Amino acid sequence: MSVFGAVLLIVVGWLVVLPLGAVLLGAFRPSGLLLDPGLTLDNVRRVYFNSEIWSLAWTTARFALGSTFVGLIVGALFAWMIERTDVPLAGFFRGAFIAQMAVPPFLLAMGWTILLSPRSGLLNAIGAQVFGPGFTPFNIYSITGMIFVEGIALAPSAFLLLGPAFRNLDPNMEEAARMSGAGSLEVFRKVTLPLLAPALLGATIFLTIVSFVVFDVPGILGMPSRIWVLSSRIYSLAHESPNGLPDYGAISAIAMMFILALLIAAYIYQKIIRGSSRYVTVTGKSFRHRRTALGAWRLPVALLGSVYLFVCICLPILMVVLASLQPFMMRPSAAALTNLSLQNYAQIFGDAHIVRAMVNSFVIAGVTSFGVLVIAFACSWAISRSQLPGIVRRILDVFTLIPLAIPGIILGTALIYLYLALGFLGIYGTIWIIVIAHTTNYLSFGVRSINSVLSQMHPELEEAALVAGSDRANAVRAIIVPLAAPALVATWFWVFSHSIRELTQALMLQSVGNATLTTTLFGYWSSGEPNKAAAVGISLFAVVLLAVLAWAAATLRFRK
Amino acid sequence: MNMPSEEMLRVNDITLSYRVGDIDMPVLNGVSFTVEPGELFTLLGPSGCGKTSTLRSVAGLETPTSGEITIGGETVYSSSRKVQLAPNRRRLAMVFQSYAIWPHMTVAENVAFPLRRMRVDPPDRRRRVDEALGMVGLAGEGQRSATLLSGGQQQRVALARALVSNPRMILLDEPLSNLDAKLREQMRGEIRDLQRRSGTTAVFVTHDQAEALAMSDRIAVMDKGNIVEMGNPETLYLRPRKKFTAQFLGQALILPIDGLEQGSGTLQLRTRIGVVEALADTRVKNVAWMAARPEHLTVAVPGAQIPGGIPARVVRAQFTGSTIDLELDAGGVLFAAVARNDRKFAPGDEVTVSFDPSNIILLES
Ligand SMILES: Nc1ncnc2c1ncn2[C@@H]1O[C@H](COP(=O)(O)OP(=O)(O)OP(=O)(O)O)[C@@H](O)[C@H]1O
Ligand SMILES: [Mg+2]
Repeated sequence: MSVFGAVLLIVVGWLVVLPLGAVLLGAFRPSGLLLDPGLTLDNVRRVYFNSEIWSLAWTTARFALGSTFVGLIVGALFAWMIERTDVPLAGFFRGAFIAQMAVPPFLLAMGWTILLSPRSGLLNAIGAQVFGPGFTPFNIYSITGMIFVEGIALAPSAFLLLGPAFRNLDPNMEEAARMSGAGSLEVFRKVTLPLLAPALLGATIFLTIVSFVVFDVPGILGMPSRIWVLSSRIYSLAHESPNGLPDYGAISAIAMMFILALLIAAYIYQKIIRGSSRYVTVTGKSFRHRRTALGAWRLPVALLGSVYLFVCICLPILMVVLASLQPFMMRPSAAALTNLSLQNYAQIFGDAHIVRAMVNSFVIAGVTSFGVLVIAFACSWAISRSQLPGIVRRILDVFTLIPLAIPGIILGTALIYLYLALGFLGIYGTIWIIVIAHTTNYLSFGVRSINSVLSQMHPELEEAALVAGSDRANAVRAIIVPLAAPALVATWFWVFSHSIRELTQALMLQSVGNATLTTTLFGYWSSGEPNKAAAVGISLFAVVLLAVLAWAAATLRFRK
Repeated sequence: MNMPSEEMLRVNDITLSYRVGDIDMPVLNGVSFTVEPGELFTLLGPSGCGKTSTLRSVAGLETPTSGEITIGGETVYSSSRKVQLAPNRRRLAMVFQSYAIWPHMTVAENVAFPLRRMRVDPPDRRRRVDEALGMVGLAGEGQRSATLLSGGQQQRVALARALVSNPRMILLDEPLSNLDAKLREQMRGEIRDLQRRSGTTAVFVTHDQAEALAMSDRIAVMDKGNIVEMGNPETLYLRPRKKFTAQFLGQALILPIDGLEQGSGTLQLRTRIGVVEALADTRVKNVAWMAARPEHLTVAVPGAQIPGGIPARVVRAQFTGSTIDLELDAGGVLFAAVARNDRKFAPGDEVTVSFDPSNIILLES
């Protein structure tokens, strides 16, 4: 086996297998730390012979499935509207949905607390004013509230996953069914739905996995009223345990069950994706786009779409913008509006700590995105093109999929174990531990997205260069990289914009010297300075928005 | 250590298998052949018989399981001596079935690529690129984007890219299969001319028997990972020795031989439809089958009798212009025959078919 293969196995093993092993084996150490002495079943017993774990699993499942359901419905409705109907301004809607990817979920959650917190929430306050003081129907600090906000946050991903399936739906198949006498509803049930089924199923599993492991929304909306899901519970075990020491043993034991469940889900997801992508390639190409004419419904549908975008996305962001311009939280009123100033911004940009955090965030996102690109490209090429032994390629394939199923919070914990134990490396407590966490986290996405590009590229393009006198490295450089360039750029932007707004792992791995914008924001928010948190959030949002727009531009160029 | 040798390519007992899941699927079961310098050698066979795998093994894109391959006397692959020379060091050129024209380069950049790898200096490179483009009829098209070319033009670019480096051998994998019928005929002639003029040795892969017959100096007929028979086009078509060859190359009436009597220089073959006389063929041992090409059958018009002829009934008669294609039925055996275009046949006509003994093909078991 070549040096190349060995290096890849070591890198991927280091990033993925080592932390996974640290978590799983840590559960059997009294202290929960891999390299500490002793062997025990205490942690496992303590966690699993306790009803709390089952109520935790139940709440997590409800939250995950609920938000997936909401996200899927919204995403599918928009995908249908944009790709399959003659709704006016389809381009605008598509752009708006892609731009939503720039909205960090914690920003949405912050906006919604301003709107819907039980006492001070704007909508509740308005309700109380109109219908009397007892009328405060909305409570965002509830499981329903969490599902609602997470569902909105997931909708753009659902849209991106379902959009191509809706777009590639071959109208000939539907027309053929029509010709054989089926009615509209029957066509939908018997033809359209089965054709969409793989994409729908894939999106469902993907979103479920994501919402199973997400921390932002449960952290901001669930923790204040002690509604625990997996990620927030682990966070609290690490930060708020009674004796002041993180309960690593319990964390490991809890992590075991969830990792197992998620690995199974990820495996099923992979199977489905394999099947459905093959199926999209077979169709595609030469059919004209036929869209459903909405007739009299064109304007109402467009209006409905706009109302959703305004109320569910713009309004909360607007609230955060407003908060960022105020010295403290105020009800919107004429008086409040005269009090606006950029003072919060001036303060945060003048604060050396925050500037430092900003630099940290950029360095982390920059290095992570570049690292992911290089490692993912190498893995992807090794998996699909190289002459490495089949077993090596399969191992790489599986290893790079695993991070999808490791909750960021667990990966964060795992890295703490690992680099505390490997203290001599000097990585613990620096920004590099966050870089490692993010690289592992986004490796799955990187490999899948580059895989899909390489698989569309005929192997003979590369082989022609080999026969023409290039060695492997030169063939990759001269042929594959230029051809894949737009997709590589798009992947880079995606990872950059996700890394820079990532909260969970940055929070888990936080220490003195490695604060980021997101951990600073979370610090302000949880210590009762929401206006400063809002200013940080909006600055971050601006950066991510730029990155996402660049990503969209690169993706569009790549499609052509 | 490399022995000087006459032949350009020697493929010696190559076996190859692909790993599918957990099982090894044998694809080549001991393929051997040699190609002389300047020759156009064709691998012909049905889909999936292993032609591409053979060619890719020669190019170095596939590593066989065992055997040996030498190019110009140099061992490029040997299982016993653990040699596997990388494709880029074999100094070959290849035209791929998909053409593999690089879409991010212009036509000229595509063609110049092999010269760049050989570090030919720019003025020389430009001259040779122009020359190669001129050869394939694309003079002056160098600055065009390769993606805007038609199928036939891409084909030519691929050829120019292969010829530009004066390779010692050029490998062509079904280069014509993606073209429409007319263009295919035209390109057949052009490839053949180019190859002759440049004196390049060529190994050509196709599953189209007409293409193979028209272009090749020699043909190897392949089936299920084996070479069944090798020879020049005339011999393989007129005097095949294997039933598979007779069946795969052109049409033929093929009958098992139930019994056989030796005459002086002739054989009397007893078959289901009657006794057929053939010239003895000493090359063929264990005669088991006879075959006759449609164009070698003489069909008498209805009513006319030929002594020694076999009676048959016309099932279908089709006027094609230059000939009349007939489908005949003799005692339940259906077969094709060709008649002159000035005769008249109708389904149901009773006719007599006679065989020319010198054109009866004897096939081994
Ligand atoms: N990469 C591969 N993995 C597994 N099996 C393969 C692979 N490439 C080819 N095969 C199998 O090997 C056999 C021979 O393939 P090959 O491509 O050499 O056939 P061919 O004669 O070129 O056929 P065609 O005329 O269809 O191109 C086929 O059965 C094919 O399915
Ligand atoms: Mg082939």
